[in-house]
Amino acid sequence: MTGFSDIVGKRGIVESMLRSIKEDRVGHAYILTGPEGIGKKTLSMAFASLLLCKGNTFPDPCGHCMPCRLIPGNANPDLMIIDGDGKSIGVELIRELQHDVVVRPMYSDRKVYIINNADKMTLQAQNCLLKTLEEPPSYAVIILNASNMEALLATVKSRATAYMLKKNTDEEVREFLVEKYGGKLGGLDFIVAYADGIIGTAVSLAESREFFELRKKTVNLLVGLKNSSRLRALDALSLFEENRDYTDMILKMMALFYRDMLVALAAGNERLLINSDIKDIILDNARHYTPSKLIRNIEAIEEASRNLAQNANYQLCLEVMLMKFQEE
Amino acid sequence: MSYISLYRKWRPQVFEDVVEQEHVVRTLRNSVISGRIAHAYLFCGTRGTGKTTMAHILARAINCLDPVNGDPCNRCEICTGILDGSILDVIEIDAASNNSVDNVREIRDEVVYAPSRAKYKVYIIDEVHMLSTGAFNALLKTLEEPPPHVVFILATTEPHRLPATILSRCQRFDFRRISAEGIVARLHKIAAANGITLDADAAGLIAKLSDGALRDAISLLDQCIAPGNEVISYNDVLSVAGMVNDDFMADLADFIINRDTVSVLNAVSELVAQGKDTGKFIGDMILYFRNMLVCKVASSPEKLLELRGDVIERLKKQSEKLDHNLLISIIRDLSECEANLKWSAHPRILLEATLIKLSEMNLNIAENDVLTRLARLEHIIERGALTGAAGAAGETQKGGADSRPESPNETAGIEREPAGDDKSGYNAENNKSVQIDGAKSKNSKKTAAQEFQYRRIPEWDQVVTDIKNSGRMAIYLYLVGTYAVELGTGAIGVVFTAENRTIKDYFTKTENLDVVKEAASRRLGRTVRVKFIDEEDISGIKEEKPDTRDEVEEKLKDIARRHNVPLEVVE
Repeated sequence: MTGFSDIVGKRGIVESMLRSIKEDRVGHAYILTGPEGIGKKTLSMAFASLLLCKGNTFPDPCGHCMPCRLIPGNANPDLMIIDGDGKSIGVELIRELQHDVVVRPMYSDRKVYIINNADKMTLQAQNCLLKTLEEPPSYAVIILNASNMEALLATVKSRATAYMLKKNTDEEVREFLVEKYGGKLGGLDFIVAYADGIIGTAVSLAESREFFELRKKTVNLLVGLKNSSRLRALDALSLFEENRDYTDMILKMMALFYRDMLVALAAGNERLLINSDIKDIILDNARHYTPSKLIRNIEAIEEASRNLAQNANYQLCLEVMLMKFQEE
Repeated sequence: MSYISLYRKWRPQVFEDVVEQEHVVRTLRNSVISGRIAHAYLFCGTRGTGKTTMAHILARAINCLDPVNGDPCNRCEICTGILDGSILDVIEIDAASNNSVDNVREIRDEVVYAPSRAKYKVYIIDEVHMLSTGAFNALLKTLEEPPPHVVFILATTEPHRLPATILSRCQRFDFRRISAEGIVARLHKIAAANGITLDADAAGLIAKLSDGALRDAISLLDQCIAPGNEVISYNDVLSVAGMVNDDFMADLADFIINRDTVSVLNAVSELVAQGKDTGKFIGDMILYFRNMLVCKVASSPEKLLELRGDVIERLKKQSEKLDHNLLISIIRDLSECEANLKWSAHPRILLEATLIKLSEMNLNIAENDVLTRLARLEHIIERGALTGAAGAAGETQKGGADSRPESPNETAGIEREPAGDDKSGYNAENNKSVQIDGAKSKNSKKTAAQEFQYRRIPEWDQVVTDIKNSGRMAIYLYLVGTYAVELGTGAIGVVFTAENRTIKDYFTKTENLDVVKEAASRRLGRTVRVKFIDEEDISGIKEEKPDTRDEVEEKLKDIARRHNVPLEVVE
């Protein structure tokens, strides 16, 4: 059972939500936005649970009433969660929502609709939602979770109250990790820095040991590329091929590594580094680069990840990027 | 449960209340008064300008039993019936959800029936741009000649997606964006009715942010009220909208101008820690530099910029430090970044990279001015070509050093470098008078010590000044009192006199070396390697590839001896 007390940080938004419930000023449409893993789902579930709860245990749902007991099994007919099938959310799912929304709530006073990854809604789907989003039945609350606000139509955005979820401070992330995994977690400092204020990332990092191994390989690869006069780009591709599921992760590590070297060159301040546990390697390698070269490399990574997202040829895309790294 | 969002609650019920759009209101009202009701209307305009609202009002106005000056009375049984939905003659269709031919066929089948209680049967088709092509075409005949008791009102934000055949069958009304004053007035009215004090500049900011869409403005106001504020200030709006305040932006601009990269990066991490949206932020930043540009070029920017006086003062001061070409290029860089950010997987890194680029490179004020750089390049090419040609001529004609226009070694530096070994060999055999570069030619008639002098690089002082200007004071200080010479094959030597030779060690650090290298390469317009040498070394230093050079020299001497030609080795 998710409650508001499980939410780390984000005080302003939580207060505003609680207050709206207490004062009976709950709006009919919300957009929760913020980077992936920031806690949009958690927050929307907490909000929905409290809205549906019949008990009187404000600010957390009671967990005993009928609606509360049905939520964990996703069996509460008053709560509909739309996830889409990965790539996109089509107009069919929104039509389902529209058919469902006119049916009055079964157990609670409200019905809550949560659309996860709302930025994946197709144009048709968004347009289809417009009228419902503007004037749903009085008992309905629609919550859109979107990490990319830009992908939502202006007409959708203007109909809903948007909450921007702020990143947590490093302290909050650290406390959370210590509480969840105990103080013995290895590489705590690094995880905190790498998570960059996002609890979701911190959790996935803490739970995967492979991550460190992967970063080590990535960094070695980049250092190797730099120090080799031979065209190594084609061999380097094997790292990507072996870890194909983690392509985005590797690209991010590369970008962060170059970013750190850039920061080291430009600012000379170690405190600003994200890969702080390998700062020796970073400082050591940074001086072989010029800032403009590092910026070009980062741009090459950007370009590659954009092209990959648009289904460009996997191998070509990455090879071009790696060759650009080797260019002087 | 009873709560209704402000923008729904404050939806106007009569023409009188509609904010602006007078051109639409006047026409519709008159047509209601005179009873000349068209059979199809098309309302278009951006979001939140009142299309759907106007459609609702019109539907009631033409059916109202007791219209007041063209406005619906909202009291008669028809009006109340329409408002509470008990009269089924006003049919609102969401075209985005019902966009198929079948849906349109349903309409077509229904229109033939007379209205149940009202005078007209009104079809409000909202978001009409989403109808499929088939559906549009199925609608055409009905839309052109509906039964006399039917009125269609189509509303859309995207009229360009409607086929021309639909457009030509409707009376079209374009809704304008609502002016800032109109929005501000409305906001104050709503705030007052809710017992909330809305600061004037807060209202102004909301109006600016909502970009002419009243619904956005009221949504934002609603959101500002939500945390329970009684008084809404400028900063409340900023924080709700996820924007940074003016001071933050002004500080950041200062950091960039002063090339304080550390502070720039700190500002970015603060921004990220506060959870601000990077895309929005960079949009604001573009606007800020745009305002700076306006301050730069306009004589009285106060008239053009709707900003507080102190903000403008600061902008003006900052604009004095930057060239307007530079400002334009900053805006261009930021816009590029903005475009990339939209789809970026690593927005923070991209933002940091762009800002570092701005603070590191772009602001080498004279450097970045493309025209200045171009002029310098032209200068170099001109001079290089001139002396090069003269040198070559002199060499073939006289084979002497005297005819060269500038210092002899300079020409040698330019001329010899690409010539290489082959040419020397060729000359040796054909002209029977040979000059060879070489520092260690001890058997020549003129001794090396007299003849040999490394060419001094005249631009060195400027290189040092550049380093000073880029803020690397330590490096600058160490370089004071040095001069530089050409070592050939793309290397230059920085010469330290005997008294400051200990300083040389400072440059064994690669990062310091790189700074000098970069500055020198930029100033000289070519990539150079930098060596640090003592003054007394200068006579003894070897060329870049001493071994091959010596070999060539020996070979040439050998050839010369065999052909019995006097061989003169200069330099």
